[in-house]
Amino acid sequence: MLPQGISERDFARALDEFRAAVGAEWVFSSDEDMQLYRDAYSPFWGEPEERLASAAVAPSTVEQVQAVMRAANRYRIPVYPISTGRNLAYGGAAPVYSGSVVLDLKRMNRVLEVDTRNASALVEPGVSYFDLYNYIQERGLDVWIDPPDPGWGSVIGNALDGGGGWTAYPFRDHFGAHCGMEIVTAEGDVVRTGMGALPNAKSWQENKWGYGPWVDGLFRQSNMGVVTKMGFWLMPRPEAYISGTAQIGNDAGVVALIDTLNLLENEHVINGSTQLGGGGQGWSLQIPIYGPANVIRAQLDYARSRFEAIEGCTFNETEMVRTTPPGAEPPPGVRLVNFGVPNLSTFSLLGRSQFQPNPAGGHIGFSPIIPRRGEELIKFRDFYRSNLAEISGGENLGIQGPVFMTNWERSLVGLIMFPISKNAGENAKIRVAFERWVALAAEQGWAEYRAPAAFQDLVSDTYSYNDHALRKLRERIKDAVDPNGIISAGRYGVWPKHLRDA
Amino acid sequence: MELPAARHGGRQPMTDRRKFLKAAAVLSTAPLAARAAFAGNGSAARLDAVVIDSRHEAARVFGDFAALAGAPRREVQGDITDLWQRELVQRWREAPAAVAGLTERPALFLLERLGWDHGLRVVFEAEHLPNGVGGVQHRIVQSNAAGLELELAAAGSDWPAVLADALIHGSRAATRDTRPSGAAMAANLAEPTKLYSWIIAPRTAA
Repeated sequence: MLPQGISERDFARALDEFRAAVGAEWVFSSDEDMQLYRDAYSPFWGEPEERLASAAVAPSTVEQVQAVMRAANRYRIPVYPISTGRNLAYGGAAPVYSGSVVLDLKRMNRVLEVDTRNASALVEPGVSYFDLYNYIQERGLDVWIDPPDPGWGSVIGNALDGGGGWTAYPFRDHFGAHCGMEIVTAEGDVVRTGMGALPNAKSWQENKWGYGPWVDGLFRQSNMGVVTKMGFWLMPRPEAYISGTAQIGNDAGVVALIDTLNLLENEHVINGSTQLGGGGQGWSLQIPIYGPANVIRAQLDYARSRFEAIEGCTFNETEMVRTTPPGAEPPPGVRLVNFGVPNLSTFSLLGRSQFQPNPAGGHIGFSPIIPRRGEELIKFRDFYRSNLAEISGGENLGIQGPVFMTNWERSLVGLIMFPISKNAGENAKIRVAFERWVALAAEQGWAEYRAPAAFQDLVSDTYSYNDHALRKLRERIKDAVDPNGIISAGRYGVWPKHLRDA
Repeated sequence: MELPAARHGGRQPMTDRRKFLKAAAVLSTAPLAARAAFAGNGSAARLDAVVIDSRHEAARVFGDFAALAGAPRREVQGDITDLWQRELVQRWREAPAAVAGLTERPALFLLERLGWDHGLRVVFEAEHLPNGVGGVQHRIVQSNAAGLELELAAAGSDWPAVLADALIHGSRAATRDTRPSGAAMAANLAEPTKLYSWIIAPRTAA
């Protein structure tokens, strides 16, 4: 496969320059190797529209990334940077624009620093949550990471994708918890953001903002540059964890339940990732709190008093759990991600268990942000129920939902899950349903915060205020920082000029 | 290298003595189609371990026979995190080696993808689907082991023993086919639950 509009001769020359930069063994173009860069959860699996890479190149240093970008820019080769390519359900290692060369940063896997005195880390893109966790454990450092579910992906990649985890706020907002970046531009220059722009910077991971306009946000869900280092604030290991569960038996009570949750989070009384369940006859809300034992005891007592003030609400608490020092086993019976321990157990839910007798394999999610109000939650639930049959064409397509996620600060996510298979006919039905949900939800003012690669244009179209003014602004920035439009064309709906015109 | 006790559950008891002896008898007289099909092709790829999902009796039997044949047994109960973190990641960094298994699909899916970074590929894959009336339907997805499906079918309920024998003694030839497996790419929607047998082996062994 050749990138569209690139001659065979130029492509061969570019690959030669990539080989000169990184070593011939780290440039891949055989059919067998390119199989590894397919999206396992592609809703276009095996169809002409499946997004496929033409080649892959795997540098191990920033200097090699610069050399690759300069060569790609010279020959106008589209490149698609990935960290580890494990963001399944969001495109994996496959490019958004078919024919791109995957810039695989897996070999850049150094943990550059973990500072325990002010709880931060500086890592390269190939560092996985397992890698960072093991680094911390092996050295006995008393800080926690915040792994997502699952934990095999890249710390940087997950943050740049807009991913999140399960411990305390603000650490579980992975992009929000970053502090400072290093970026290689399309033309091969190196830029450091925040305090990192200061030669001999001493506070790159301590102050996010630096001086002047803040640009870090341009590199989130983006195609403006190649992020080669990123700092993160870590959570000092909390002394203890405690949680309680508020329950209410009717829809009327959920309004007060959510308002109380908002108050307690906005007062920073609750800092853990709460979990909202129910939606049938009643609702339950689990509220975890992390911190010093005597402090969180008081926080939970206060939270209990607020929830019990709601008519019909009951509140039960669990035993306080003391966390364990680095190098020790986590407390028995806990959900590991809530204790900063990366794992892969979420995948086993895809297999047979008493809870899931008919497992699906791949999946994608429609995850619109909705206001964190009880009325809106019920409205979304009823919207799902009333539209499911029509959207599914009267069939059972295996769509599941809604699950209400409360792990983002201030807002809710109403998650709907779609199974993805290798059957083109089944996937075609899922695609139609997904597109319909996106359109219907947008009419209600609900839209995705993160989307599978195949639907990034579709979701981008829904953010259309003032004739797509936001997308037009992003396109102007894209054209300025990547004049040849070589980086991640089409990612999150931002296309370079030559492909927009086409 | 010994794997520490699994965090999420202990060792299941070995299959009972009656079944064990019965399967051993079957094994001793089983047709050699699979072994013959495996043998004589490819270079050696010694099995470093056999991974079983110990929630399934068939997998436990498979693991028992693999252990008898000298392949160290590693148990998971769905989740492979401990196996990966406490053993395989280090071993594969030092010297990628062949591993076989009888597990549910996610374990194969994950280990295959993790193996890619160490030059490992799935070189044998078969599905084992309970038919709901006590039997199991076998389908070889990826292998050049002609005849193994028939041999497994003929073994009836003793198929795990025959499978163990085929994979342990015939694993060398299976290293020829290095295409990524179907499980690595995507699962079929709403399939009845299956077990998957597999070998992941160094690409250089092909």
